[in-house]
Amino acid sequence: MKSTTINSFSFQRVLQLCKRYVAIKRSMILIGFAVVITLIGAVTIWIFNFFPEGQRSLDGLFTIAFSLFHYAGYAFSSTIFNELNEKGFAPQFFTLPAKTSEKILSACLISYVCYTIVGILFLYIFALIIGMDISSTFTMKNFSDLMIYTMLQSIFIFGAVFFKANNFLSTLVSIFVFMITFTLVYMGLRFYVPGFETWLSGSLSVLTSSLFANVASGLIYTLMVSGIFIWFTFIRLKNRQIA
Amino acid sequence: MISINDLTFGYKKGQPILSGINLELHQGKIYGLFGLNGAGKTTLLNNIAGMLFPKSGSCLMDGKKTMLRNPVVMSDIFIVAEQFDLPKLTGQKYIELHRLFYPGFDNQQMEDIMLEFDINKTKMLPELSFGQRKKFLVAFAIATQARLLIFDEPTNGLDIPSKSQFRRIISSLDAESRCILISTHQVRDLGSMIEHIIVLKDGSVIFNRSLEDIADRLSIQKLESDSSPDSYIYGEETLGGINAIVASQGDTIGEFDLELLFNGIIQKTEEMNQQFEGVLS
Repeated sequence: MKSTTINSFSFQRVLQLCKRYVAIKRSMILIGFAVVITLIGAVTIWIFNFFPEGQRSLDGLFTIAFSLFHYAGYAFSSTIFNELNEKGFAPQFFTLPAKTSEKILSACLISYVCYTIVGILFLYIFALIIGMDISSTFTMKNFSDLMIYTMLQSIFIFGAVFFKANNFLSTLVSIFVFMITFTLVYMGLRFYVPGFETWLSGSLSVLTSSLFANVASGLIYTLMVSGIFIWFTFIRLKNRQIA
Repeated sequence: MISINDLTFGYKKGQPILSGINLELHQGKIYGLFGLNGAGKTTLLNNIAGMLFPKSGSCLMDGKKTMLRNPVVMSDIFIVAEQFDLPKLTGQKYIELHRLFYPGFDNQQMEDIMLEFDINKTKMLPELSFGQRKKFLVAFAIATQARLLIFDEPTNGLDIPSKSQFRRIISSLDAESRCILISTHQVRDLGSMIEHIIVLKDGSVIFNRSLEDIADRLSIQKLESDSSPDSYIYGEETLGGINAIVASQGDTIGEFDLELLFNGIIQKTEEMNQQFEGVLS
């Protein structure tokens, strides 16, 4: 007798979707990982060969590895829904019996949670290999970076559903345009609204008055921005139709 | 099972591809969806499968809108598109990853159909020929136990033995629990299995009749070359006469020539439909 599908949210389906994403994107993940390792390896070898011990900046080297980890993550997130943009694959993805929220949660689990855990583990091992002081590797600055990374990841996941081609570049350009607009608005407010700068610095000083306030405000802001973009992703995916 | 009510769809405003479509599809029947190129067949199939959203009207499966793509509804619909790709996985892995989404998935049936189609499930799917991949997806579609199976040009890319295998497999399905909708140009390949004909022209359903009704009202006769055009509804000249569709006078007919019927419907829509006045579609 045929058993029944449930319409409510199912973690079993989320897990199966995660397995499906990994299996389908296995080649891309392996190639991406190989490229990142090769690049970091090449830079490391170059620094260790051409700079004497006293002149080597291990922090600089770690920053390069950290940046690569960021950008590879954004690129990966941008391609997480690429089945939607491929005519031959789209019907299977659209008609797969899973809720939109399950498809998004599984995509986030793979492209953000799993990727970040693996990435941080890799960076930790890398820091050990190059002989960095581990206690200085993961600091408050890295925490702030992680918050920014989380927000940007949600934007790139949205870009993966929103754009129909060149998702990574399109999202990058959109962020760039937004930043320019934001800066222009900020400059305008600074110059034309009396007292704006005083009000802003007063507000910011409250948020950064203590470590707790700093962390809490950072977390709230990150969750808010990421939540909004994940919600946009949900709406967009739910309303997406085959090209 | 499927209820399409006054469905209109278009990609651009003011340019409908489908307009005013009303259809009822029932379990236990095999429907043939025919139409000239660009008539809107694939668009209609995509609306039924919830991949396109009607601009107005609705497409319901058991009373639920397919455009909402609820898991319950989607586990009961499987579409085998005309053009498709399969991921870089072995057939075995593909089954493992996707069968959980279809709670009624029948492993034994999958194995049996793959055996009949001679598909090697240990091979990577993209390494199979297009015909082999299509047979794999057809096998998977059937094994899901989805109650609505939609095939868009299922025999395109299949070799001659595979076409008859396909017919045999579809005919052997538990017909009572399923509804099968086949869109095809290859009426000669699949004509023998179709029970109900739907013809689309310029985005509208111009003909929607069961073969039973058609056989009651129409027949195909071979007429003399010099027969008057008034003596038949539609005819095509062939060697030694005219193959013609005529109003049935209780005479028995052999297997219907679906190609002739389709051409007749396209050329003489009004006259053909007039034969069914008073008969519900």
